[in-house]
Amino acid sequence: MRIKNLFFNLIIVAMCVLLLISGGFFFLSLHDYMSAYHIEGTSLLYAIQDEDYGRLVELAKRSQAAENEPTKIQEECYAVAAYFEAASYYKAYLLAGENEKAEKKAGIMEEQMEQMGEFSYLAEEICKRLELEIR
Amino acid sequence: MKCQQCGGNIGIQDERCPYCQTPNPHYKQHRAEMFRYRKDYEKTKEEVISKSGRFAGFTVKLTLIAVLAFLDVLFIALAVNADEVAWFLESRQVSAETSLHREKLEEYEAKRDYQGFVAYYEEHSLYLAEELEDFSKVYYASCNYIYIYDALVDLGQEDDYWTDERRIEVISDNLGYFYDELKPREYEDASRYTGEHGRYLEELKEDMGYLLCAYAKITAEEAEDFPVMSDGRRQLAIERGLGLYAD
Repeated sequence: MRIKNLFFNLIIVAMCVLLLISGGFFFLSLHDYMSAYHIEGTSLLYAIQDEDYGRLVELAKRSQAAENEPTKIQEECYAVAAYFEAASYYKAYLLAGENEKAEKKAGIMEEQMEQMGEFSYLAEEICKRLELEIR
Repeated sequence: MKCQQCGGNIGIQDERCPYCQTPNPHYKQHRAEMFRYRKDYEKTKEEVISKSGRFAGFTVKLTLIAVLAFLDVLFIALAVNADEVAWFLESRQVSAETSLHREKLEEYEAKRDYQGFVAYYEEHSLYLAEELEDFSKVYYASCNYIYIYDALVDLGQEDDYWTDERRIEVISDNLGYFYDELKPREYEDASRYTGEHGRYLEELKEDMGYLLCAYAKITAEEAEDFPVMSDGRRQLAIERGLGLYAD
């Protein structure tokens, strides 16, 4: 009788352990699948450091779309991204003779330059890279 | 029962006759039988209680094992299919906020913020919402557009992995998908490419032409022909534009 009891108790303990493991694994996986992917401020800084402005624009847009409260440094990175994006279109519209559209983009460039803070020196670099006159 | 001495009524449990006090000859035997019955009764009672207790304990354990087995199977199945559960929960969440998302997407669409549109769409998993399916063509076309945009603006910035040759390949491959996506398909609902969506797609195509002229250095005439060119011819035109190969 005792052996039978012990056997049942062991089964119950083993099943509880299995339940804990499978339940834990399920909730962790669910959390992983459902939690939003956050763009860290450092990713934006790395993109600037690598002069990978195409990636910077993408990261900035994603970070803004996530609607998290940005830090000051993130806001400045967003401004660099917006400046680069506007500058890239400014060049394209200017060459295509779409002056009205180009002027709109130039306006955005000026607006964003004021918000670039300590990164404002990058405006010159971006313009040089895109073969534009500095605005 | 009658008393053998006086004929008075006596009970079997009476030790003596209540009238003449003559001893009841059946009393002792009755008492002994009662004692034996009581003992048997107590023994049986104990046995029943002990057996039923054991049965109850056994039943409780079996029930517990059955419940645990059910929960184990349930959670193992849930853990294996966690992606589908998340998908289901997320689509419910997205569907509950459809009007807010629609408003936001329309805002991005009106601003012609192609990258912002894709970022918002993906960040909020809007591909899960059937109610927002009319934005799907705009989304896929914008996705292809931004791949090309990234490669175009990075031309000339070579590193170990990203050479201009590789970027040109990416551009010409994705241009094929991009122009295909702009074409209305038979099975597609017209709501996906008419109205504001249609104007957005037109401008997307136009901007692609401007970007190609500015960064891939192709001519405006070539840019106009690009939608009907083969991938190979597009690649050649870009390579020629960038002066990678002499004619």
